[in-house]
Amino acid sequence: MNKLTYKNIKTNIDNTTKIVLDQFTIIHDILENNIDDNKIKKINSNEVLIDNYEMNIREEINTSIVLYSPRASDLRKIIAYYDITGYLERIGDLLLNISEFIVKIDYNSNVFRNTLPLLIKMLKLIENMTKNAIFATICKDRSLAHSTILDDNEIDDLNVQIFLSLIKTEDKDKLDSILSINSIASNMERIGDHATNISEAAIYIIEGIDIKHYINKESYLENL
Amino acid sequence: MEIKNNIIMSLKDLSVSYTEGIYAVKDVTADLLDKNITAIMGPSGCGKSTLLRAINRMHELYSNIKVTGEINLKNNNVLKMNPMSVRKMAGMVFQRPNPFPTMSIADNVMAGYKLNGIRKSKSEREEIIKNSLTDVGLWNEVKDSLNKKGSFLSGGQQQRLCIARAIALKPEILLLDEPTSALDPIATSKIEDLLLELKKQFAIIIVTHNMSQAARISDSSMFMYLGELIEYDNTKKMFTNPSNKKTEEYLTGNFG
Repeated sequence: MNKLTYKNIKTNIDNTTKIVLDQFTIIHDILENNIDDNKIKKINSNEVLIDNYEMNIREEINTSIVLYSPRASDLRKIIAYYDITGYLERIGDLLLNISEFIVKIDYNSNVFRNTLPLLIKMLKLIENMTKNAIFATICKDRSLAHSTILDDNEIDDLNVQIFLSLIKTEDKDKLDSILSINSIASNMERIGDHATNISEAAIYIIEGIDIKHYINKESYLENL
Repeated sequence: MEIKNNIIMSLKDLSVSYTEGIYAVKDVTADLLDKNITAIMGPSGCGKSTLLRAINRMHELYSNIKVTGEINLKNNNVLKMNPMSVRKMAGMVFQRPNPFPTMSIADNVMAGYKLNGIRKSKSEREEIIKNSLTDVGLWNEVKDSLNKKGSFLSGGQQQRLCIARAIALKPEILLLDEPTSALDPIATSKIEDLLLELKKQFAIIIVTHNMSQAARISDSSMFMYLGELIEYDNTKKMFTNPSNKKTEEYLTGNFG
Protein backbone atom coordinates (compact mmCIF):
# COMPACT_ATOMS: atom_id res chain seq x y z
CA MET A 1 0.00 0.00 0.00
CA ASN A 2 1.07 3.57 -0.64
CA LYS A 3 3.30 4.79 2.21
CA LEU A 4 2.05 8.35 1.91
CA THR A 5 -1.52 7.15 2.48
CA TYR A 6 -0.48 5.49 5.74
CA LYS A 7 1.39 8.59 6.79
CA ASN A 8 -1.67 10.78 6.16
CA ILE A 9 -3.97 8.47 8.09
CA LYS A 10 -1.54 8.18 11.01
CA THR A 11 -1.04 11.95 11.10
CA ASN A 12 -4.79 12.53 11.21
CA ILE A 13 -5.23 9.95 13.99
CA ASP A 14 -2.38 11.64 15.84
CA ASN A 15 -4.06 15.06 15.45
CA THR A 16 -7.41 13.65 16.59
CA THR A 17 -5.72 12.14 19.64
CA LYS A 18 -4.12 15.49 20.55
CA ILE A 19 -7.50 17.21 20.49
CA VAL A 20 -9.09 14.42 22.55
CA LEU A 21 -6.29 14.74 25.11
CA ASP A 22 -6.87 18.49 25.14
CA GLN A 23 -10.52 17.75 25.99
CA PHE A 24 -9.34 15.66 28.96
CA THR A 25 -7.22 18.59 30.17
CA ILE A 26 -10.15 21.01 29.97
CA ILE A 27 -12.49 18.61 31.81
CA HIS A 28 -9.83 18.17 34.48
CA ASP A 29 -9.54 21.93 34.81
CA ILE A 30 -13.32 22.35 35.05
CA LEU A 31 -13.67 19.67 37.72
CA GLU A 32 -10.85 20.97 39.91
CA ASN A 33 -11.49 24.68 39.44
CA ASN A 34 -14.58 26.07 37.85
CA ILE A 35 -16.65 26.23 34.73
CA ASP A 36 -16.60 29.21 32.47
CA ASP A 37 -18.00 29.97 29.06
CA ASN A 38 -14.61 29.96 27.38
CA LYS A 39 -13.87 26.43 28.51
CA ILE A 40 -17.28 25.22 27.35
CA LYS A 41 -16.80 26.96 23.98
CA LYS A 42 -13.40 25.32 23.62
CA ILE A 43 -14.85 21.86 24.33
CA ASN A 44 -17.55 22.38 21.71
CA SER A 45 -15.16 23.70 19.06
CA ASN A 46 -12.76 20.78 19.72
CA GLU A 47 -15.67 18.38 19.27
CA VAL A 48 -16.34 19.82 15.80
CA LEU A 49 -12.68 19.29 14.90
CA ILE A 50 -12.79 15.68 16.13
CA ASP A 51 -15.87 14.99 14.01
CA ASN A 52 -14.24 16.52 10.95
CA TYR A 53 -11.08 14.46 11.43
CA GLU A 54 -13.19 11.34 11.74
CA MET A 55 -14.86 12.02 8.39
CA ASN A 56 -11.53 12.78 6.71
CA ILE A 57 -9.84 9.65 8.04
CA ARG A 58 -12.74 7.42 6.98
CA GLU A 59 -12.67 8.97 3.51
CA GLU A 60 -8.93 8.33 3.25
CA ILE A 61 -9.38 4.74 4.38
CA ASN A 62 -12.23 4.08 1.95
CA THR A 63 -10.12 5.44 -0.91
CA SER A 64 -7.18 3.25 0.15
CA ILE A 65 -9.31 0.13 0.10
CA VAL A 66 -10.61 0.93 -3.38
CA LEU A 67 -7.24 1.84 -4.82
CA TYR A 68 -4.86 -0.59 -3.15
CA SER A 69 -6.86 -3.74 -2.08
CA PRO A 70 -4.75 -4.04 1.05
CA ARG A 71 -3.73 -7.48 2.27
CA ALA A 72 -2.08 -9.11 5.30
CA SER A 73 -0.73 -6.51 7.75
CA ASP A 74 -1.85 -3.65 5.48
CA LEU A 75 -5.41 -4.97 5.69
CA ARG A 76 -5.27 -5.36 9.46
CA LYS A 77 -3.87 -1.86 9.86
CA ILE A 78 -6.49 -0.23 7.70
CA ILE A 79 -9.36 -2.06 9.43
CA ALA A 80 -7.92 -1.22 12.84
CA TYR A 81 -7.44 2.45 11.93
CA TYR A 82 -11.05 2.58 10.78
CA ASP A 83 -12.23 1.19 14.12
CA ILE A 84 -9.87 3.40 16.14
CA THR A 85 -11.16 6.52 14.40
CA GLY A 86 -14.67 5.60 15.50
CA TYR A 87 -13.57 4.94 19.09
CA LEU A 88 -11.72 8.27 19.31
CA GLU A 89 -14.78 10.07 18.00
CA ARG A 90 -16.94 8.33 20.62
CA ILE A 91 -14.50 9.31 23.35
CA GLY A 92 -14.87 12.89 22.14
CA ASP A 93 -18.67 12.60 22.35
CA LEU A 94 -18.47 11.18 25.86
CA LEU A 95 -16.17 13.99 27.03
CA LEU A 96 -18.66 16.49 25.62
CA ASN A 97 -21.43 14.71 27.55
CA ILE A 98 -19.34 14.94 30.72
CA SER A 99 -18.94 18.70 30.25
CA GLU A 100 -22.73 19.02 29.91
CA PHE A 101 -23.31 17.13 33.16
CA ILE A 102 -20.67 19.08 35.06
CA VAL A 103 -22.62 22.36 34.64
CA LYS A 104 -25.48 20.83 36.66
CA ILE A 105 -23.31 20.06 39.70
CA ASP A 106 -23.34 22.15 42.87
CA TYR A 107 -19.61 22.53 43.53
CA ASN A 108 -20.31 23.45 47.14
CA SER A 109 -22.22 20.28 47.89
CA ASN A 110 -20.74 17.57 50.10
CA VAL A 111 -21.61 14.90 47.58
CA PHE A 112 -19.40 16.61 44.99
CA ARG A 113 -16.53 17.28 47.38
CA ASN A 114 -16.62 13.63 48.55
CA THR A 115 -16.66 12.12 45.07
CA LEU A 116 -14.28 14.60 43.42
CA PRO A 117 -11.07 12.68 44.30
CA LEU A 118 -12.51 9.53 42.76
CA LEU A 119 -13.65 11.40 39.66
CA ILE A 120 -10.21 12.95 39.21
CA LYS A 121 -8.55 9.58 39.70
CA MET A 122 -10.89 8.03 37.14
CA LEU A 123 -10.33 10.87 34.69
CA LYS A 124 -6.53 10.57 34.93
CA LEU A 125 -6.72 6.85 34.44
CA ILE A 126 -8.91 7.01 31.33
CA GLU A 127 -6.74 9.78 29.90
CA ASN A 128 -3.67 7.58 30.34
CA MET A 129 -5.48 4.58 28.90
CA THR A 130 -6.46 6.57 25.79
CA LYS A 131 -2.93 7.92 25.35
CA ASN A 132 -1.33 4.50 25.89
CA ALA A 133 -3.77 2.75 23.59
CA ILE A 134 -2.95 5.11 20.71
CA PHE A 135 0.76 4.86 21.49
CA ALA A 136 0.52 1.05 21.47
CA THR A 137 -1.19 1.20 18.06
CA ILE A 138 1.23 3.58 16.36
CA CYS A 139 4.35 2.01 17.87
CA LYS A 140 3.04 -1.60 17.76
CA ASP A 141 3.77 -1.96 21.47
CA ARG A 142 2.30 -5.31 22.45
CA SER A 143 2.88 -5.09 26.21
CA LEU A 144 1.48 -1.57 26.43
CA ALA A 145 -1.68 -2.71 24.62
CA HIS A 146 -2.02 -5.63 27.03
CA SER A 147 -1.55 -3.54 30.17
CA THR A 148 -4.03 -0.91 28.94
CA ILE A 149 -6.70 -3.54 28.50
CA LEU A 150 -6.11 -4.80 32.02
CA ASP A 151 -6.38 -1.21 33.39
CA ASP A 152 -10.07 -1.28 32.51
CA ASN A 153 -10.73 -3.33 35.64
CA GLU A 154 -9.67 -0.40 37.81
CA ILE A 155 -12.04 1.91 35.92
CA ASP A 156 -14.92 -0.46 36.60
CA ASP A 157 -14.00 -0.56 40.31
CA LEU A 158 -13.88 3.24 40.53
CA ASN A 159 -17.28 3.48 38.87
CA VAL A 160 -18.71 1.14 41.50
CA GLN A 161 -17.03 3.11 44.31
CA ILE A 162 -18.53 6.37 43.05
CA PHE A 163 -21.96 4.75 42.78
CA LEU A 164 -21.77 3.45 46.35
CA SER A 165 -20.62 6.81 47.57
CA LEU A 166 -23.62 8.46 45.91
CA ILE A 167 -26.04 5.98 47.47
CA LYS A 168 -24.61 6.64 50.94
CA THR A 169 -24.46 10.44 50.63
CA GLU A 170 -26.33 12.55 53.13
CA ASP A 171 -26.94 15.20 50.49
CA LYS A 172 -30.20 13.55 49.48
CA ASP A 173 -31.69 16.90 48.37
CA LYS A 174 -28.88 17.43 45.83
CA LEU A 175 -30.53 15.21 43.28
CA ASP A 176 -29.23 17.09 40.23
CA SER A 177 -25.66 16.79 41.50
CA ILE A 178 -26.07 13.13 42.43
CA LEU A 179 -27.51 12.16 39.05
CA SER A 180 -24.94 14.25 37.17
CA ILE A 181 -22.02 12.73 39.07
CA ASN A 182 -23.42 9.26 38.38
CA SER A 183 -23.72 10.07 34.67
CA ILE A 184 -20.19 11.49 34.58
CA ALA A 185 -18.83 8.30 36.14
CA SER A 186 -20.80 6.18 33.64
CA ASN A 187 -19.49 8.21 30.72
CA MET A 188 -15.95 7.85 32.05
CA GLU A 189 -16.45 4.11 32.35
CA ARG A 190 -17.53 4.05 28.68
CA ILE A 191 -14.39 6.00 27.75
CA GLY A 192 -12.39 3.28 29.49
CA ASP A 193 -14.19 0.70 27.32
CA HIS A 194 -13.31 2.58 24.16
CA ALA A 195 -9.67 2.91 25.21
CA THR A 196 -9.75 -0.85 25.72
CA ASN A 197 -11.23 -1.27 22.23
CA ILE A 198 -8.38 0.81 20.79
CA SER A 199 -5.86 -1.46 22.54
CA GLU A 200 -7.63 -4.51 21.16
CA ALA A 201 -7.32 -2.96 17.70
CA ALA A 202 -3.59 -2.53 18.36
CA ILE A 203 -3.34 -6.24 19.19
CA TYR A 204 -5.18 -7.04 15.97
CA ILE A 205 -2.56 -5.08 14.01
CA ILE A 206 0.39 -6.61 15.87
CA GLU A 207 -0.77 -10.21 16.30
CA GLY A 208 -3.57 -10.65 13.77
CA ILE A 209 -5.95 -11.85 16.48
CA ASP A 210 -9.30 -10.24 17.33
CA ILE A 211 -9.70 -10.63 21.09
CA LYS A 212 -12.70 -8.35 21.45
CA HIS A 213 -15.14 -11.05 22.50
CA TYR A 214 -12.75 -13.50 24.16
CA ILE A 215 -14.32 -14.81 27.35
CA ASN A 216 -11.07 -15.27 29.29
CA LYS A 217 -9.34 -12.20 27.94
CA GLU A 218 -7.15 -11.65 31.00
CA SER A 219 -5.65 -15.12 31.08
CA TYR A 220 -5.18 -14.96 27.31
CA LEU A 221 -3.25 -11.68 27.64
CA GLU A 222 -1.16 -13.00 30.50
CA ASN A 223 -0.15 -16.03 28.44
CA LEU A 224 1.00 -14.03 25.41
CA MET B 1 -2.48 -25.98 8.08
CA GLU B 2 -5.31 -28.07 9.47
CA ILE B 3 -5.95 -30.87 6.96
CA LYS B 4 -9.41 -32.23 6.50
CA ASN B 5 -10.14 -35.82 5.54
CA ASN B 6 -10.86 -35.09 1.88
CA ILE B 7 -7.30 -35.09 0.58
CA ILE B 8 -7.30 -35.77 -3.14
CA MET B 9 -3.66 -35.26 -3.98
CA SER B 10 -0.44 -35.46 -2.02
CA LEU B 11 2.83 -33.98 -3.15
CA LYS B 12 5.89 -35.36 -1.40
CA ASP B 13 9.36 -33.89 -1.86
CA LEU B 14 8.44 -32.96 -5.41
CA SER B 15 11.35 -31.45 -7.31
CA VAL B 16 11.70 -30.40 -10.94
CA SER B 17 14.98 -29.46 -12.56
CA TYR B 18 15.62 -28.16 -16.06
CA THR B 19 19.36 -28.52 -15.67
CA GLU B 20 21.33 -30.89 -13.43
CA GLY B 21 21.47 -29.45 -9.93
CA ILE B 22 19.35 -26.38 -10.69
CA TYR B 23 15.81 -26.72 -9.41
CA ALA B 24 12.77 -24.87 -10.68
CA VAL B 25 10.70 -26.62 -8.00
CA LYS B 26 12.37 -27.89 -4.86
CA ASP B 27 11.11 -30.37 -2.26
CA VAL B 28 7.47 -29.35 -2.34
CA THR B 29 5.33 -31.31 0.09
CA ALA B 30 1.61 -30.56 0.43
CA ASP B 31 -1.80 -32.23 0.65
CA LEU B 32 -4.46 -30.79 -1.63
CA LEU B 33 -8.12 -31.06 -0.85
CA ASP B 34 -11.01 -32.28 -2.97
CA LYS B 35 -13.88 -29.91 -3.87
CA ASN B 36 -11.55 -27.03 -3.04
CA ILE B 37 -9.88 -24.33 -5.07
CA THR B 38 -6.17 -24.05 -4.30
CA ALA B 39 -4.39 -21.01 -5.66
CA ILE B 40 -0.66 -21.06 -6.32
CA MET B 41 0.87 -17.59 -6.11
CA GLY B 42 4.32 -16.16 -6.26
CA PRO B 43 6.59 -13.85 -8.24
CA SER B 44 7.54 -14.62 -11.82
CA GLY B 45 9.87 -17.59 -12.15
CA CYS B 46 9.08 -19.05 -8.73
CA GLY B 47 8.01 -22.43 -10.11
CA LYS B 48 4.21 -22.16 -10.08
CA SER B 49 3.59 -23.30 -13.66
CA THR B 50 6.42 -25.83 -13.44
CA LEU B 51 4.70 -27.41 -10.43
CA LEU B 52 1.38 -27.51 -12.24
CA ARG B 53 2.86 -29.09 -15.35
CA ALA B 54 4.62 -31.71 -13.26
CA ILE B 55 1.20 -32.90 -12.04
CA ASN B 56 -0.04 -33.20 -15.60
CA ARG B 57 3.21 -34.89 -16.77
CA MET B 58 3.71 -32.11 -19.34
CA HIS B 59 7.45 -32.22 -18.66
CA GLU B 60 7.59 -35.65 -20.40
CA LEU B 61 7.73 -33.68 -23.64
CA TYR B 62 11.24 -32.44 -22.80
CA SER B 63 14.02 -34.93 -22.19
CA ASN B 64 16.19 -32.57 -20.14
CA ILE B 65 13.55 -32.02 -17.46
CA LYS B 66 13.81 -34.26 -14.42
CA VAL B 67 10.95 -34.76 -11.94
CA THR B 68 11.57 -36.49 -8.62
CA GLY B 69 9.51 -37.16 -5.54
CA GLU B 70 5.89 -38.28 -5.45
CA ILE B 71 2.58 -37.03 -6.73
CA ASN B 72 -0.19 -39.22 -5.36
CA LEU B 73 -3.56 -38.58 -6.96
CA LYS B 74 -6.24 -40.65 -5.28
CA ASN B 75 -3.55 -43.04 -4.04
CA ASN B 76 -2.05 -43.46 -7.52
CA ASN B 77 1.54 -42.33 -7.99
CA VAL B 78 1.14 -40.08 -11.01
CA LEU B 79 4.85 -40.28 -11.88
CA LYS B 80 4.62 -44.04 -12.35
CA MET B 81 1.41 -44.06 -14.39
CA ASN B 82 0.85 -43.89 -18.12
CA PRO B 83 0.94 -40.15 -18.94
CA MET B 84 -2.26 -40.37 -20.99
CA SER B 85 -4.06 -41.86 -17.98
CA VAL B 86 -2.70 -39.04 -15.83
CA ARG B 87 -4.00 -36.42 -18.23
CA LYS B 88 -7.46 -37.96 -18.06
CA MET B 89 -7.39 -37.65 -14.28
CA ALA B 90 -5.83 -34.18 -14.28
CA GLY B 91 -7.40 -31.91 -16.88
CA MET B 92 -5.42 -28.83 -17.82
CA VAL B 93 -6.41 -25.39 -19.07
CA PHE B 94 -3.80 -22.94 -20.24
CA GLN B 95 -3.35 -19.21 -20.18
CA ARG B 96 -4.26 -18.59 -23.80
CA PRO B 97 -7.54 -20.21 -24.86
CA ASN B 98 -6.59 -22.97 -27.29
CA PRO B 99 -9.61 -24.72 -28.81
CA PHE B 100 -8.35 -27.01 -31.53
CA PRO B 101 -8.72 -24.84 -34.63
CA THR B 102 -9.62 -27.58 -37.06
CA MET B 103 -12.32 -29.08 -34.85
CA SER B 104 -15.90 -28.01 -34.33
CA ILE B 105 -17.18 -26.95 -30.92
CA ALA B 106 -18.70 -30.40 -30.36
CA ASP B 107 -15.51 -32.14 -31.45
CA ASN B 108 -13.46 -29.92 -29.18
CA VAL B 109 -15.53 -31.06 -26.20
CA MET B 110 -15.07 -34.71 -27.21
CA ALA B 111 -11.37 -34.30 -28.11
CA GLY B 112 -10.20 -36.03 -24.95
CA TYR B 113 -12.18 -39.15 -25.76
CA LYS B 114 -10.99 -39.19 -29.35
CA LEU B 115 -7.33 -38.73 -28.45
CA ASN B 116 -7.60 -41.50 -25.87
CA GLY B 117 -9.32 -43.83 -28.32
CA ILE B 118 -12.50 -44.00 -26.23
CA ARG B 119 -15.59 -44.64 -28.32
CA LYS B 120 -18.95 -43.33 -27.25
CA SER B 121 -22.38 -43.94 -28.72
CA LYS B 122 -24.18 -41.07 -30.39
CA SER B 123 -26.50 -40.55 -27.44
CA GLU B 124 -23.62 -40.71 -24.96
CA ARG B 125 -21.67 -38.23 -27.06
CA GLU B 126 -24.61 -35.83 -27.21
CA GLU B 127 -25.11 -36.11 -23.46
CA ILE B 128 -21.44 -35.43 -22.72
CA ILE B 129 -21.40 -32.42 -25.05
CA LYS B 130 -24.59 -30.95 -23.61
CA ASN B 131 -23.62 -31.55 -19.98
CA SER B 132 -20.09 -30.20 -20.35
CA LEU B 133 -21.19 -27.09 -22.23
CA THR B 134 -24.01 -26.55 -19.72
CA ASP B 135 -21.61 -26.88 -16.81
CA VAL B 136 -19.46 -24.09 -18.25
CA GLY B 137 -22.44 -21.90 -19.10
CA LEU B 138 -21.93 -22.15 -22.86
CA TRP B 139 -24.77 -24.44 -23.94
CA ASN B 140 -27.37 -21.77 -24.66
CA GLU B 141 -24.81 -19.65 -26.49
CA VAL B 142 -23.54 -22.38 -28.83
CA LYS B 143 -26.22 -25.10 -29.00
CA ASP B 144 -27.18 -24.00 -32.50
CA SER B 145 -23.53 -23.79 -33.65
CA LEU B 146 -22.06 -27.05 -32.40
CA ASN B 147 -20.71 -27.93 -35.81
CA LYS B 148 -18.98 -24.61 -36.28
CA LYS B 149 -15.32 -24.08 -35.48
CA GLY B 150 -14.61 -22.59 -32.05
CA SER B 151 -12.65 -19.69 -33.52
CA PHE B 152 -15.73 -17.50 -33.91
CA LEU B 153 -16.23 -17.45 -30.14
CA SER B 154 -14.96 -14.62 -27.97
CA GLY B 155 -11.86 -15.11 -25.82
CA GLY B 156 -13.91 -15.80 -22.73
CA GLN B 157 -16.15 -18.24 -24.57
CA GLN B 158 -13.11 -20.03 -26.03
CA GLN B 159 -11.66 -20.42 -22.56
CA ARG B 160 -14.94 -21.82 -21.27
CA LEU B 161 -14.88 -24.24 -24.21
CA CYS B 162 -11.40 -25.34 -23.13
CA ILE B 163 -12.69 -25.92 -19.61
CA ALA B 164 -15.61 -27.90 -21.04
CA ARG B 165 -13.10 -30.01 -22.99
CA ALA B 166 -11.18 -30.67 -19.78
CA ILE B 167 -14.19 -31.58 -17.64
CA ALA B 168 -15.81 -33.74 -20.33
CA LEU B 169 -13.45 -36.53 -19.32
CA LYS B 170 -14.63 -36.24 -15.70
CA PRO B 171 -11.16 -35.65 -14.28
CA GLU B 172 -10.33 -35.92 -10.60
CA ILE B 173 -8.64 -32.58 -10.61
CA LEU B 174 -8.66 -29.49 -12.81
CA LEU B 175 -5.41 -27.60 -13.34
CA LEU B 176 -5.57 -24.03 -14.61
CA ASP B 177 -2.49 -22.03 -15.48
CA GLU B 178 -3.41 -18.32 -15.32
CA PRO B 179 -6.69 -19.02 -17.11
CA THR B 180 -7.91 -15.42 -17.12
CA SER B 181 -4.76 -13.38 -17.68
CA ALA B 182 -5.56 -13.01 -21.40
CA LEU B 183 -9.21 -12.10 -20.79
CA ASP B 184 -11.07 -8.85 -20.13
CA PRO B 185 -12.56 -8.20 -16.66
CA ILE B 186 -16.08 -9.32 -17.57
CA ALA B 187 -14.87 -12.58 -19.10
CA THR B 188 -12.59 -13.04 -16.09
CA SER B 189 -15.52 -12.60 -13.74
CA LYS B 190 -17.50 -15.25 -15.65
CA ILE B 191 -14.64 -17.72 -15.49
CA GLU B 192 -14.26 -17.09 -11.73
CA ASP B 193 -17.99 -17.68 -11.18
CA LEU B 194 -17.67 -20.83 -13.25
CA LEU B 195 -14.79 -22.13 -11.15
CA LEU B 196 -16.75 -21.50 -7.96
CA GLU B 197 -19.52 -23.68 -9.41
CA LEU B 198 -17.16 -26.36 -10.71
CA LYS B 199 -15.44 -26.79 -7.35
CA LYS B 200 -18.61 -28.55 -6.21
CA GLN B 201 -17.57 -31.35 -8.59
CA PHE B 202 -13.77 -31.17 -8.86
CA ALA B 203 -10.65 -30.25 -7.00
CA ILE B 204 -9.20 -27.19 -8.72
CA ILE B 205 -5.65 -25.85 -8.70
CA ILE B 206 -5.16 -22.44 -10.23
CA VAL B 207 -1.90 -20.64 -10.85
CA THR B 208 -2.49 -16.92 -10.74
CA HIS B 209 -0.55 -13.69 -10.68
CA ASN B 210 -3.68 -11.91 -9.62
CA MET B 211 -3.69 -11.83 -5.83
CA SER B 212 -7.18 -10.41 -5.72
CA GLN B 213 -8.38 -13.34 -7.81
CA ALA B 214 -6.71 -15.79 -5.43
CA ALA B 215 -8.37 -14.02 -2.50
CA ARG B 216 -11.76 -14.00 -4.25
CA ILE B 217 -12.10 -17.60 -5.28
CA SER B 218 -9.63 -19.89 -3.54
CA ASP B 219 -10.15 -21.83 -0.34
CA SER B 220 -6.46 -22.51 0.17
CA SER B 221 -3.39 -20.72 -1.11
CA MET B 222 0.20 -21.68 -1.72
CA PHE B 223 2.95 -19.10 -1.85
CA MET B 224 6.06 -20.14 -3.75
CA TYR B 225 9.38 -18.40 -3.96
CA LEU B 226 12.52 -19.49 -5.81
CA GLY B 227 11.05 -22.96 -6.35
CA GLU B 228 10.17 -23.57 -2.72
CA LEU B 229 6.80 -23.76 -1.06
CA ILE B 230 7.02 -20.99 1.53
CA GLU B 231 3.53 -21.10 2.94
CA TYR B 232 0.37 -23.12 2.38
CA ASP B 233 -2.72 -22.24 4.34
CA ASN B 234 -6.36 -21.28 4.39
CA THR B 235 -6.67 -18.30 2.01
CA LYS B 236 -8.47 -16.04 4.45
CA LYS B 237 -5.83 -16.69 7.11
CA MET B 238 -2.96 -16.18 4.67
CA PHE B 239 -4.36 -12.93 3.34
CA THR B 240 -5.08 -11.43 6.76
CA ASN B 241 -2.28 -12.88 8.90
CA PRO B 242 0.37 -14.82 6.99
CA SER B 243 2.74 -16.90 9.08
CA ASN B 244 5.86 -16.34 7.00
CA LYS B 245 7.59 -12.99 6.62
CA LYS B 246 8.24 -13.58 2.89
CA THR B 247 4.54 -14.17 2.32
CA GLU B 248 3.76 -10.96 4.22
CA GLU B 249 6.24 -9.03 2.05
CA TYR B 250 4.79 -10.47 -1.15
CA LEU B 251 1.19 -9.78 -0.20
CA THR B 252 1.93 -6.21 0.86
CA GLY B 253 3.78 -5.56 -2.38
CA ASN B 254 7.22 -5.23 -0.86
CA PHE B 255 8.81 -7.59 -3.36
CA GLY B 256 7.98 -9.66 -6.43
